[in-house]
Amino acid sequence: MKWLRPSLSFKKLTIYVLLIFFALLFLLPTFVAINTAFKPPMEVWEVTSFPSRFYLGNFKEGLSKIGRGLINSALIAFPAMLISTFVGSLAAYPLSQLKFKGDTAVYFLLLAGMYVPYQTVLIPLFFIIRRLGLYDTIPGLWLVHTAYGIPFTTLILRNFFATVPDELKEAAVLDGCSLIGYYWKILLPVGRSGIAATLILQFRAIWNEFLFALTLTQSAKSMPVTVRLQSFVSMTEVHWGPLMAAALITILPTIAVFLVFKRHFVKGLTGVYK
Amino acid sequence: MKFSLGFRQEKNLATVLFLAVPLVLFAVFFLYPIGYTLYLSFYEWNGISPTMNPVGFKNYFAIAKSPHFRTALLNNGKWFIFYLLLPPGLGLSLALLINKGVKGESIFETIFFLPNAITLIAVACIWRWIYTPGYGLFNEVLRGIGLPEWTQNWLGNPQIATYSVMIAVLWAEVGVFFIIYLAGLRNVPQALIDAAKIDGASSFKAFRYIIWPMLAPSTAIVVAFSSIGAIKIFDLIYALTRGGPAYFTSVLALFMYEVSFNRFQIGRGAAVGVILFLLAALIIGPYLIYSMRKVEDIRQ
Repeated sequence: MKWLRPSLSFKKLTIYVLLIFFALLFLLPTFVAINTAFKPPMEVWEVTSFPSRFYLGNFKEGLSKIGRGLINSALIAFPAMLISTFVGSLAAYPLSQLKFKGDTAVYFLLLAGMYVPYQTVLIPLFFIIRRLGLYDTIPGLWLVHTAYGIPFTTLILRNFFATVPDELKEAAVLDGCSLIGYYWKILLPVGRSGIAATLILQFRAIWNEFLFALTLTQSAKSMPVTVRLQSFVSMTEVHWGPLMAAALITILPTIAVFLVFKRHFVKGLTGVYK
Repeated sequence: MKFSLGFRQEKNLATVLFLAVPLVLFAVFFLYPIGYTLYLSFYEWNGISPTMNPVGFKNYFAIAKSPHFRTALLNNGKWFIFYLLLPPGLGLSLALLINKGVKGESIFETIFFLPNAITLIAVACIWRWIYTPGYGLFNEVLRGIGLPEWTQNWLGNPQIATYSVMIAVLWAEVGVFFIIYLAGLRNVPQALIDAAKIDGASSFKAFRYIIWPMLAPSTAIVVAFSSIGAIKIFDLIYALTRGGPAYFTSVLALFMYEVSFNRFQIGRGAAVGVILFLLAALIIGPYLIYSMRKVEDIRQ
């Protein structure tokens, strides 16, 4: 019996102790935020104690500061994740299924975009968006997230589409299906798990994005929650209770998406970095 | 109505049709801006005035002389070393621990990855609270365990502020390194390790001579990922310290943003943008060429 062998069980025990230690350490900052968010104002500075009662005022105040930002973030993230995933699939199809001269070069050109520091494109981008009349608008951010999502969405979807066997396409073509029809009727449905993973990862990336939003929005009507939250934290006198509540509300959607779709999330990420 | 196209023509047509939108967007939002930034870096301009002054390399010289730039560049160097060592090291350690067939594997996985799902701005909120000078959690805990002389203004002391930010980044980003290494470890056949153990290899030797070499593809990705992380780092520093105190925690990305969008020295900001691009190309270029060759080799 395994547990009778002391050296083995000691080793296992050490592993568990270490894992639990790290797990608690990782949970601590989130726990601190939750603990602070539920404290009445008088208790906030007693940082090592629990709230004496569940106080919801912080959430009310936090929400009043970032509420509009949350709505904007939703209005930005949902359409942008759909459009950017669609555009990525447009590039991924020929790059994975239709061999053509220079396909590797095109693929690596798009891929290289992932490594371009955004500061290198930021000034021209600002003027392009202004020129298009999209400065400080939500559709402007759809466009930006779609364009700068191309390297990532193409990479991940190309890897997923590459696992779809060639025979499927050959059979479809023999049956009189056009190559465009094949994309709509067969490739997208067959590749749906890859598309789901891409949508989820794009949702996270867009919801969490800060630099483009900071540069391309200036008014409450289009500013997403990350920029609102940031202006909240960099005030000289911070109200920590409401700030922690606001931070928790901000991260709730991405945490929920991660917990619900964890399998897709991890599969997507490990699919990309292969 | 159906045109009778040959298969080859149909394939070419489909390729062009599908690639058109992504490639146009790529040209407009990547290629053109990179070129235009290079162009702007040779001009003096405030972003509004109709005239732009050609100044040659003056912007680059001005930057090179600026102490803010030098501090920022040095900090990017520190971030580079940090990113190469700590997140991969901790990520791999956690992956190795979890890969030993523990119960509740999926719960640990979730806990280690969770900070990676949240926005860095929220991470900054939480860590600013933890690091609050005087009676923040970090200082209170130090007092609680009998180390009151260790208490600090964690984000306000120029000697240590960058390292304080690094701890927050480690917490926030180790998850993705962990996931990459965990996926890599799951590709190492257990039979191979068992065989080595039977032959008398210690756990360390099994790691050193079997597991680590087999993790090479994961490590290649991690190194690429780390290097670009060190060049791109912006959000967390912006929200935690704004580069302060003074500019002691600044990095090039932050310097560029401040020069361009707060001081409206567009030419100078563009020059920093060019420098960032060259750094990225220098570090990532070889990796990209290497992986491109590999893909081509596989196909031939």
